[in-house]
Amino acid sequence: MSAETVEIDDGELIRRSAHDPEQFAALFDRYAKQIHLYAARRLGTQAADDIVAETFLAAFRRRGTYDTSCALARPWLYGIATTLIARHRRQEERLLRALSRTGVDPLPEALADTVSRRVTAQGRERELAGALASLPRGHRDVLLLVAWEDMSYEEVARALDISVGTVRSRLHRARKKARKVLGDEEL
Amino acid sequence: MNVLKEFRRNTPAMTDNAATAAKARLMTAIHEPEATRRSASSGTRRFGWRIAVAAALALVVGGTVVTLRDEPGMAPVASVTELGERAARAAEDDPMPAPGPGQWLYTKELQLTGVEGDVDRDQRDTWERWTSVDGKRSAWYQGGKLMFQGGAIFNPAELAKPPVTPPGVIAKIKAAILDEDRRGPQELNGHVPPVMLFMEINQLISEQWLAPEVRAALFRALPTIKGITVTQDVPVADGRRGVAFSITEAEARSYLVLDPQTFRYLGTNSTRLQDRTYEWADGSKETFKAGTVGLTAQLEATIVDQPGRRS
Repeated sequence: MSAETVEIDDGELIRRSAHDPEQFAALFDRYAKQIHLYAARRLGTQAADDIVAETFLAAFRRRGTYDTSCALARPWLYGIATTLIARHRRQEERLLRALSRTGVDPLPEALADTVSRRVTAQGRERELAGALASLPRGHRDVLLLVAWEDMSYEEVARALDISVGTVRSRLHRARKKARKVLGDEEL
Repeated sequence: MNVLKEFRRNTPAMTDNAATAAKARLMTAIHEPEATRRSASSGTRRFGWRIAVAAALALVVGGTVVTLRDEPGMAPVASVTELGERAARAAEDDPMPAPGPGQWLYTKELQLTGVEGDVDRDQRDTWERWTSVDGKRSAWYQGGKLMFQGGAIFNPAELAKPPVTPPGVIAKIKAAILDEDRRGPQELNGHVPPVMLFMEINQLISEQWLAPEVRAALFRALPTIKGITVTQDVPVADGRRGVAFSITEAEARSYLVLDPQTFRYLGTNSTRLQDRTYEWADGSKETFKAGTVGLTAQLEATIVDQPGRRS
């Protein structure tokens, strides 16, 4: 592989963006879609549209504080997005409770051609929604970053600006609560 | 399969439109850092015109169905009780056969916001929506794709359980609102404000297929809610005028407008009476001024076999 094909890492992009701001746009292309999906799974696509836009605006303004020795900006960006999601905590919990109660998810979803195929959520999904709604927000953040985004404990710690020990304890408690409603399901 | 990993996995991906808009905001910040700061709130208007309208008017508005028979030659209604009774009878006489359980109500609505006495600032939009007859799901087109959503607070079948009476449907609606409040914001202290009840009934009447006896009971119940009066000659978004149930609270005056001859549902009309500032997701603020008006008009209301179909 020749040197030219090696992609510049996020840290280097952010370092360069100090003098050449346009470089920052590459981060959007790398992470916007996955952050959108994460936010949309929590709050719906409309809220996610705004959260993604605000995440990158905030990140761009704060880029001077980024530790450019960190090659991956993903945890940093998820951390900003999580802070924005936190402003909708009540809404998130209300939506989860509605799913838990009715078996129908209030969040929009795109379906393929067959509507009739879609049935209401299974019992376990409803129970999970109820459990997620009852978690403290910080615990839910940790659980979902690990389960949905496959982040390591270290990445979650960086994203949420907490210690790895706190990540461990929150995850332990969140899983314990979820297991209580889901049985021995691997989480 | 891991139930948590699979949870909401079929959430739709970011649309190209949303990605383009979000990136455009970033590029503006990159090229004109100061300009973005100032216009931070304008971008959030995309967040949903309907949300903006609802926020502006403190009234949830939507499409509608009241399919009523013409009864020409009746005198104008003299009181809100009479309006309730006539609208109820028209609902009971509705000749439309009951839809099947798998069918959907298709509605198309014209929405208009502006400032009183300043028509040049009007903003118009049409809104199409499909709501399942069982009330469990609704659908709309977004970026060419049919989107679905669930979560009606009220189960239409529950409202239709006999005996169906005006106090009975009110009690069921209040109970559902309070139940939701107990689980969520806990702001109501066991008391449902009349304007909230009016908004919920308004939304049911405009967006949901309801059994004729339920619809009739709702119309008979409206005059019993404190503060609801009758107002003649109220315009809706497409210029038609009708007779309205109306309620005024501190922030807004709201009307549910019916045809004065047939009592067919025409639309809604609201006027904001006080400024109100909302804080959006990015912390920016937007103020809706007193004098902002919002009108809707029902253009279509048809039972269809599938969401996405218009006939």
